[in-house]
Amino acid sequence: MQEAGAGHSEEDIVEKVVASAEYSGAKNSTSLTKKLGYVVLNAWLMFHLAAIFISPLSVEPAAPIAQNAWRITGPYAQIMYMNHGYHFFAPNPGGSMILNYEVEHADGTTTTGMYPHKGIYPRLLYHRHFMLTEYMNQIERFPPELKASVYKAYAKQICKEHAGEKVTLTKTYHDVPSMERVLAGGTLDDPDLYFKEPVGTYTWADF
Amino acid sequence: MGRFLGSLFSILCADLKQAAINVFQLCWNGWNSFWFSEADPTINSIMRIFAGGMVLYTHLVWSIKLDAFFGPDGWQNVDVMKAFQAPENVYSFWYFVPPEWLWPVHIVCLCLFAMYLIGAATPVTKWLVYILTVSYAHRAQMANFGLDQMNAILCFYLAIGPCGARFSFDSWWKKRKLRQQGKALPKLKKSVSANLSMRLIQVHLCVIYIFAGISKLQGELWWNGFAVWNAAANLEYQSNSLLWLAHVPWLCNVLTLTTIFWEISFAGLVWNKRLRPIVLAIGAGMHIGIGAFLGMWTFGLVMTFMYLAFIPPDDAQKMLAFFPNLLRDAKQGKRTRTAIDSVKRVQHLEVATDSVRSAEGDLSVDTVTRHTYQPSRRGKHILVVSDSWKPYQLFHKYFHDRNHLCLPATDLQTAGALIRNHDFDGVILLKGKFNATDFQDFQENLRSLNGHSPASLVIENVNGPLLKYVDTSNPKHCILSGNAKLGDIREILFAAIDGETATTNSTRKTQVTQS
Repeated sequence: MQEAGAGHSEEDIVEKVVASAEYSGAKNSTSLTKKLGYVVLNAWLMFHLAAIFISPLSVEPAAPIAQNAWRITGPYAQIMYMNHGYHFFAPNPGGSMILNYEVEHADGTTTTGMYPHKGIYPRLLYHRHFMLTEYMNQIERFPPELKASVYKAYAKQICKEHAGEKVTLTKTYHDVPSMERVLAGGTLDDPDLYFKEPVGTYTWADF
Repeated sequence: MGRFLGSLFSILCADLKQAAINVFQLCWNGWNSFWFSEADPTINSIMRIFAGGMVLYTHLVWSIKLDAFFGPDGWQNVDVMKAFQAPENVYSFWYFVPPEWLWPVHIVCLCLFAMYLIGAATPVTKWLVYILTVSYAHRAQMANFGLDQMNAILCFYLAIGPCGARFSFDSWWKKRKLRQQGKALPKLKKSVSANLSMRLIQVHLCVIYIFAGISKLQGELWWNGFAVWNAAANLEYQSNSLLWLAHVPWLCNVLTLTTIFWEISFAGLVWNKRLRPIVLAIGAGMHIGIGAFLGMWTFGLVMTFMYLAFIPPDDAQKMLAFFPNLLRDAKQGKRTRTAIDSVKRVQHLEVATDSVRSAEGDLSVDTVTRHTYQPSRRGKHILVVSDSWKPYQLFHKYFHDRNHLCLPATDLQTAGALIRNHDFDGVILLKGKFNATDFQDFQENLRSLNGHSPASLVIENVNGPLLKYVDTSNPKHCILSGNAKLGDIREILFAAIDGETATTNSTRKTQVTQS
């Protein structure tokens, strides 16, 4: 900051000059690495921000520009598990999907039930089962072979869980009652709110 | 005429060019200070505990039905999942785990999640936890929901920063070792990565909410105000009955429209310091409501944990300081008295300093400071030496708002006396109209102080480019010239107090000279 004071010996000054030269040399090499790191970091940051923005933007119905941009950022977002749409309860909150089953045991008795059911505890595990059945909406868009394989996997798991020989699956859509209906005395589980669609019957030979 | 127009055109072009450069510089500086400022890692560490707790719980619950969800022949058959995920770029180590190794691998993973929670080997576990979270999510893709997405987002961003710097086994172990060696405990380091990590969470939350909001605009129910009813009347979601909402349709409308407006406006309003608590409180209310009535506690909680990223690091420190004080005061049974006392102490010192200034030696500074001021030290103690009160008032407001103590000295004699009798961390010297020789001597004396000497920052001119001169032999003393902002001054002074020679982000140009 100040000029070298009168009290400093020549040796002191030489030592300081050498130290200063070493310091500036080290500083130059580190600053180059730092600069390079800074450029790389900025590039990643901009790409990452683009990826997290384009992911929800490219959810259908999407503009072609967003879909094209997704081709660039999509693989990165998928690897990072940041490829989400964040369309919570959108466009409209609707009813839910239920998977009904009827398991036939070796002794001829049957067990019926459904997924999800409120007996599954804790709530997080219940929600996992709920998501499995909600996924049946997406399965509809799959190729027929893949769709059949998914239901077969569901059937096999149910057969295993209940030690059954044969299982019959039914997909049920549970609609939401209107406000007026509830005010008129309707309940959330009125039978006419359930729309059933048979999936199939599976035996161990099918698995 | 042609020449005139030509020169006018060139002037205009030059002005436009300069304006463009200025705008670019402004944006670039803004970008840099937003992403690459240094921040205290306290919030990162607190968030690690919450995130660690959540990921541990999330994966612990898988244990109840591990075979059903992760076994090769479970709900999500391996072959089906592989066929389904073939076009995607996803990975999961679970596809390589043989069925007999399912449980041992899961237990190891749970141990890693637990280690992350307590902050053990954090530099490694924080990345492993992110990879594991993504691996579990990709393997159990059909059973995923928002919780898994948020867990992964949170773990990734926390891994970028030093999330194990505090409240961790690592920091406890490090301190223990230093204590055993009789070494001084290092000060908590601020870092760019701590800030970057928090900023990424903030920006990602904005993206989440804006798309959650605008995607709802496609739905008729969100427009006619009955979407909340449809969510509430879904028997499979419902964990507590909300049928009473049918009797108050206006409440459904209010909740529906508030949700839309809040989600869309979040990305804009949350950056306003005054509105931020309101915006976050509404969000927390919404998520807690979803947790209480629709049973998604885990998702609601993880979203609320992410809000912690919006707490400024200084406020986090204040909040943390509150808890030990509360415990100590509860023990002594004088919770209220201490708060009043600490205010009085500061007032006493300020009054005492004024007395010293007015009495000019009639009153012993030594007596005043020793008998009236026994501070319980909080924040930094700064002395502002200036011949005018105006700069002091600015500094006082600025530092006081940040929980630091700022005191004035309008003449060099009083300043010297105060420095000798009080343990100041830093001194800000404004040259003003002080006699040049006296001012120079004062600086020299300050540098030659033995023992605990305060760091000093001399502010010379207020115009021109910002330049910082650091005494390399003693980095505690700096000279600053140019148009510096209060934030710049604080950063440079605090860096000097901490003995750091590194230049700060706000320092646009630095000159380092040899003493």
